[in-house]
Amino acid sequence: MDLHGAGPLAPRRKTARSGTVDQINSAAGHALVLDTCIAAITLDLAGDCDKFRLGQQDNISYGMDGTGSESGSPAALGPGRRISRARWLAFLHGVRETPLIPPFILCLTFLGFGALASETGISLLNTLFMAVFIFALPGQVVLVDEMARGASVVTAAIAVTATAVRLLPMTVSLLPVIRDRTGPKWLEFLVAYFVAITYWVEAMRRTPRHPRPLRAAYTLGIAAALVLASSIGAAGGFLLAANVPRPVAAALLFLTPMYFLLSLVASSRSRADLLPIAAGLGFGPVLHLAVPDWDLLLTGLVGGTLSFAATRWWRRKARP
Amino acid sequence: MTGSLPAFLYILIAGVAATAVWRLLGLALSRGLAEDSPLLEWVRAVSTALVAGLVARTVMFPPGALAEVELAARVGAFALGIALYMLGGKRLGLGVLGAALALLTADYALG
Repeated sequence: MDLHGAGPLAPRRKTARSGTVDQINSAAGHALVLDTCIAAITLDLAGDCDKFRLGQQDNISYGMDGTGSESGSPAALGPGRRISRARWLAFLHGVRETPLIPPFILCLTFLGFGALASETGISLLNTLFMAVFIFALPGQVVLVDEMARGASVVTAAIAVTATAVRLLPMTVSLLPVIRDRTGPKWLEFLVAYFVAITYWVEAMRRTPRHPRPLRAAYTLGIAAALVLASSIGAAGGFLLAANVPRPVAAALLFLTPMYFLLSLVASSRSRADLLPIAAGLGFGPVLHLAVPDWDLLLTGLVGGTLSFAATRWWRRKARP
Repeated sequence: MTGSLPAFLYILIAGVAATAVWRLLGLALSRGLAEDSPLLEWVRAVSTALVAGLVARTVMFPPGALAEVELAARVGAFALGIALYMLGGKRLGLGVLGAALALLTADYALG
């Protein structure tokens, strides 16, 4: 069970921008073929393995848009159909290969969110709606907080959007890893739509070793596992909240901040990345007392900008 | 709770749309923006500080049932979680679960 064993820093290596025959035929490519066959056998789809292997050879140059040959006979699957199948297998593979610990923690922290939503008086359906379609815990917690305070929809949107800015750099850094010029655009859209801390950390770690045409599908498998775990957690927390002793409910609510902080630390790549974390921890409570309505946004802007400036200044000084 | 707006619409606007906009902007920008550009570095710092601020606020000024736990227990469990993570081979699960159990124990011991 190697949670962040290799370290979240490992997956940062640069990879080629587009799939090449060499890349597909590399050891990593073969490893995926083997692994995917194991997945296929398990799923009783063993016959697809050969098609998958064939598909890998010819899908490089043409027809990988996943739409080709839909009308062809099953015996003569076109390359487009083959890559669709390969993508589907890669997706299932992504689901299966997701280690147990990240979805487990996510499930637990969503328990905390479900409990919070239930205490606020939000319906179970709306709680699940948030868990699946927002799928960014800080934003969800802020939203519930704003709803509890009876804030206007505009105030709430500004606060939530401020927590979601951090998804922009994550998306910008993940997309080049999974981008495949020949693949359908909606796959990229889906990958971008579900970007969140845990998904980003896992996808950046695991995806680069797979052949480029299958990466988007593979990371979506990770996303599916995480969304499922989160929904189960949110529903569980919602139903539990009213039925557990108060100290247990308190411990559930404590999972979320602890998890946020440790994932920030885990996804930091250098000592300089720890600076905005420290700044946020310091400024957060102070600004909450000083300007309760805008505390989060100001904490981000002040703490983040100061850390950014300090890091740049320090780097310039270190350079000869 | 949400004024005149149905809760579902409130969530759709202030939650779903407010979150998705950054992911979609990221999708659009990922075609042109270098990952190590100063602008992105700044954005990452701002968002990190914001989430860390949310964490500190939740521990210091907590919602719901967590507010019934002593401040010392909250801060102590929080520090213990970080220590467990750092000393225990950087395992998120260890830090998170350790902190929650510590909070529960402290709460029963103090309360």
